[in-house]
Amino acid sequence: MSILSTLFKHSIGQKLIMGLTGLFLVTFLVVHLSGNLQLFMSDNGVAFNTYTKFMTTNPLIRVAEWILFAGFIVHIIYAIILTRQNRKARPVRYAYSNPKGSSTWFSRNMGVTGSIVFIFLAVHLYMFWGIFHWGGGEMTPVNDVQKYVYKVTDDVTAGGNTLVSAGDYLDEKMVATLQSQNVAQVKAISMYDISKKSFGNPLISLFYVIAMVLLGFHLNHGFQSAFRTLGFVHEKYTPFLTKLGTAISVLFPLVFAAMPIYLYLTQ
Amino acid sequence: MKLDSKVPEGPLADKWTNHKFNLKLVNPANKRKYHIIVVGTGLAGASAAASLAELGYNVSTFCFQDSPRRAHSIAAQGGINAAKNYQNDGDSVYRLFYDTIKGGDYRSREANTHRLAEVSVNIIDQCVAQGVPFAREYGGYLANRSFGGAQVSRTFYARGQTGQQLLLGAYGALNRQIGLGNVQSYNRREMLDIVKVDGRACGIIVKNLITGELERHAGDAVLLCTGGYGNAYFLSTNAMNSNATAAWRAHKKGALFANPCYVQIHPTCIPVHGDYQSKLTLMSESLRNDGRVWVPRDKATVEKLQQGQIKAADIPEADRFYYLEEKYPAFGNLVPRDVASRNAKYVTDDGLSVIPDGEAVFLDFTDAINRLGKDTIAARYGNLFEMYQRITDDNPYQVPMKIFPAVHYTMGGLWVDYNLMTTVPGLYALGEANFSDHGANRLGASALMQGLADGYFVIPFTVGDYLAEIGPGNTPGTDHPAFQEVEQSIQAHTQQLLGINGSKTVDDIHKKLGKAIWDHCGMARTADGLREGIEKIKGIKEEFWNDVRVPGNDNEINFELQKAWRVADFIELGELMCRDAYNRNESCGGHFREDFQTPEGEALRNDAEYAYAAAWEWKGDDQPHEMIKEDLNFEFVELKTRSYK
Amino acid sequence: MASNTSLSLTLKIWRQNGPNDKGKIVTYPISDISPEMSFLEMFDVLNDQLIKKGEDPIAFDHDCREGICGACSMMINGQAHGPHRRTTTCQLHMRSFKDGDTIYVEPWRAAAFPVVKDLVVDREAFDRILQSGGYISVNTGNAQDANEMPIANEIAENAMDAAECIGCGACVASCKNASAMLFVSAKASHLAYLPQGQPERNRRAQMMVNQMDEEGFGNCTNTGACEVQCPKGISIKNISRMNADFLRSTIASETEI
Repeated sequence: MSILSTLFKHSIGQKLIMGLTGLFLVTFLVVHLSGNLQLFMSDNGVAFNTYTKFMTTNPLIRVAEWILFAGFIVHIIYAIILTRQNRKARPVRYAYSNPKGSSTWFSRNMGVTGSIVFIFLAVHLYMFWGIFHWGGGEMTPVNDVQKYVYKVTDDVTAGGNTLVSAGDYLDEKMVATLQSQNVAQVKAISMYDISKKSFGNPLISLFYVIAMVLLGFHLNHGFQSAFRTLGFVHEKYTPFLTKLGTAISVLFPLVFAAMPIYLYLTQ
Repeated sequence: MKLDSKVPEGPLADKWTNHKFNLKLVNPANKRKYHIIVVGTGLAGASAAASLAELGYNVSTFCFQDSPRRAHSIAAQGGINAAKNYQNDGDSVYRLFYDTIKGGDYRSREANTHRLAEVSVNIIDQCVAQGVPFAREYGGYLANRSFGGAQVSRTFYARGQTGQQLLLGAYGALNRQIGLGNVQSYNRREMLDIVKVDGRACGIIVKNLITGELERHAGDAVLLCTGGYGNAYFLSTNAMNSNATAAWRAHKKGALFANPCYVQIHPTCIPVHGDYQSKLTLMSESLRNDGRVWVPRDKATVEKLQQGQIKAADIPEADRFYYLEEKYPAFGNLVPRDVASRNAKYVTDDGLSVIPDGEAVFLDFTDAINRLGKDTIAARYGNLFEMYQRITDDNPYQVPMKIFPAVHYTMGGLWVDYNLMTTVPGLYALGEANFSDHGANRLGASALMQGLADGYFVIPFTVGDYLAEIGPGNTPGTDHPAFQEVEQSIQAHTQQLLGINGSKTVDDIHKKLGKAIWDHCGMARTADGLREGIEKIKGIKEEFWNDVRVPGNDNEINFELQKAWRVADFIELGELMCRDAYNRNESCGGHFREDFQTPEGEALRNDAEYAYAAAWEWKGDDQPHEMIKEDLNFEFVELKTRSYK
Repeated sequence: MASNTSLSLTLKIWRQNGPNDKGKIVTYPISDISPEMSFLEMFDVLNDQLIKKGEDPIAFDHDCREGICGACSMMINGQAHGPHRRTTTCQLHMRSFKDGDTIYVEPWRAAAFPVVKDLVVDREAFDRILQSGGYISVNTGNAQDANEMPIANEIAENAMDAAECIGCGACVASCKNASAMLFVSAKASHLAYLPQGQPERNRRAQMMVNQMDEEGFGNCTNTGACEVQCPKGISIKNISRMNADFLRSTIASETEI
């Protein structure tokens, strides 16, 4: 049996793909969470925007972004493939279904929690990544753009020369150049502003909180399940892993959910 | 007809070795030209089929269950004996042989029993190699427990599921051969008859239990590994579908049926609790290692107990009658099964039953729990205790178990010679289906041993002798008119059953039959009672063929039809059981005639007149059977009165 | 013992004439059921009544009626073998139900277990999985002395825990994906724990998983329902253990099988 047939043909191989991509996505959560903690700095977004700048300009991160994207896609595609197989394995359902006593709701509904998390992800990407990349900026004093690490959204030209291009972050030299041309304001955007504006809307904040609860359920089963699929089982360490999974599934969404709440309350 | 047991000459310990050398061999290239049919896939059938296929024969297996693994061997709990002497407690092949002969009350064939003891050691090796997870000591070596009728510890066990584990081992070996294409496995098939051409067995007709179709299978040899006939009693520890049809149909085709009255009543079963009861559940005999059997000493206490005014624990030590310990101080609670059962009957006949409207005695673990702790007892019998509690709602850690004897095993069966061949050439009987090794009573943990001995280590040698004799390719195919003839007679029989359309269900009549056999041919028998039993059974036969109702038809799953043909055979067999018991004017082992007992109420054997196996020949419907004797010559063992005092 | 008052129940039982019939739930009221009866004895009583009324009795698999053969297979109110843990249908007693209860009884549902009739399903898929490699290849007569190879007590116990599987199919029936992983892994683990099982350990895992997939069972998502519903309490740790064997032997091993 070759590796390829193991991975793509056999149920355990396909589950392995699910488990590995799942765990990979958990590592992404770790990075994402630790970065986003900058939101809680009382510096009007300097730290958070600096982190955004790093994430959007570092070439390694750009590559990682594509890998991450692939991870999501594979995780989702295999979820669909496996779900279809599973449906086919029981063509006639029970007239009386009573699964409550023998398994947890979230372990049976990874598809439901996963789908909602997926919808959340799309909205989330649009609201932040989309607007940050494609949305229009607002006129902002040049000093602030540099101080608070805004991203310039429109080219600034003077006399046929492009002083600053869209997508630039202003360094001291650029500020000097702009000032020398008497440009006081440029169109710019900051992730911190987007966040603050978005979470000012209580409905959006609520949506985020709900999505995080579901993510928690998804993680709670997914984390330990991935280790089981990987074949890791140990009398002493498996209980620890299960507890770690539960801890992650509570802690991560809690901190994530704290962000919209914090920003909403600090409007 | 003269019976030739084909027991080889020579000293007891050399008989099997010499015989193996003298048996003809089939050359390896020719083996695949033979087709062997194995009916039944319990320990005997699965081990035989696997071993024969390993040798190179073409094998087909048949079972009525949906999988070979569900054969009733799976339910054996306690263990399997082997003369390994791992405990260094004085065991040997000769001692196992001797215990088995004595336990069987000197009614088995010496040479067969010795061979059984000889190969017992190989069985354990084979099973361990297959991955049977026998219990182990902390040092990693095999653990043993003691069992009734023996004073050494020679019983190997896998928790309370030894039969299951041994069968899974044999089934694994069988699966391997199925996977390799050497065995064709036919499930949900019931054998309805054998086909004979020129006097020898050439095939079988089976019914596909799903489609109802009859299927023909030709083979150079037919091995019946179909178990015992305990379900004739309706209530027994056998599985619901265990039946004697294969053996009985073979009997009607010329195979003699030996010692049908030798039935083992197992002392430790959960008592009957209602008319609707469908079967009895055994509690392993191993429980008697630590449990003490008792009833209250007097009727006044019994009355209070039955009315629920007092509990077992309230009865002071002095008022308890530990009848086995008192009567048999040497063996105590570990007397052989027949002795333990009969004594339970005596005390309940005396009105000392511990339950109202029924019969039961206590099996009490209080002392063992106090001595060894609850954990030790749980480790030994945890699953049995759980099972008991599930069924009865009583917790045996807190209150004594209530037990009573129940039909468990049949020592009688198709008569076979030393090669396990019946009186029909080419037709063999293995395991519980034959009669040879246990005499009038089987010791605990010996059924598994015999099934596997026959399958793994006897038949692979002996069947070759016959096959070499007939030569390859000399068995007619299924197009032979004999197959059609048998098929037609089965169809006629089936149509007859479906056409009666009376008012009683098959179970109604089966229950009636069971009660008649239990009352007259059960734990204690009398000449008058047996005569009465025979008349009753004749009446039941009459009733069955006039008033049974078998719904549905022949070309679908029809469990009622299945039961009907089995019960029709049980009725005939039941009559023969009584006839055999009536003929045997002595008491021995499981056959206890109240008219033949010592003043102390122990079995009174009559070696001068009855040291023979009674093999019965079918003479046709409405014709009495003819009995043919095989004299049992005890060359090596001195016949003694069995005493466990 | 429980009280002796009898029960009246409403049974809703799946009736299906054959594999191609659509099948439906049929309601049967039944009364005078003793709490001491087993669940299957109640079916005996019901069938007795049906036969006497000239109706077709309900087909169901059963044999030993002591919880070891694995033949009985009823989904009772949505639970494999009914409401009790570590109990087969044949060992379930009516004292577990209340007077007036409605009880749904359905066959195991899985594409790999087609319904044969009523509550009887075809479980030969399990046999085929075992035929593909669920054994130790040792011919009769090959064995060495049983005590040549000491096996630690705890290893023998682990093997025995896995070996207790009775092959009833409750794991498949109760899995939301109709996955057979608990059964297959119990069988693989029983032999993989033991030293005798080592030579074929990798091959066994691969062959059995291969056959399991071919039979059309679903995928394991580790919900743990099988472990809870298993009448023998087989642990899902066996599943992880077999996953490890399978992955090690397919991805890490240098030889292909």
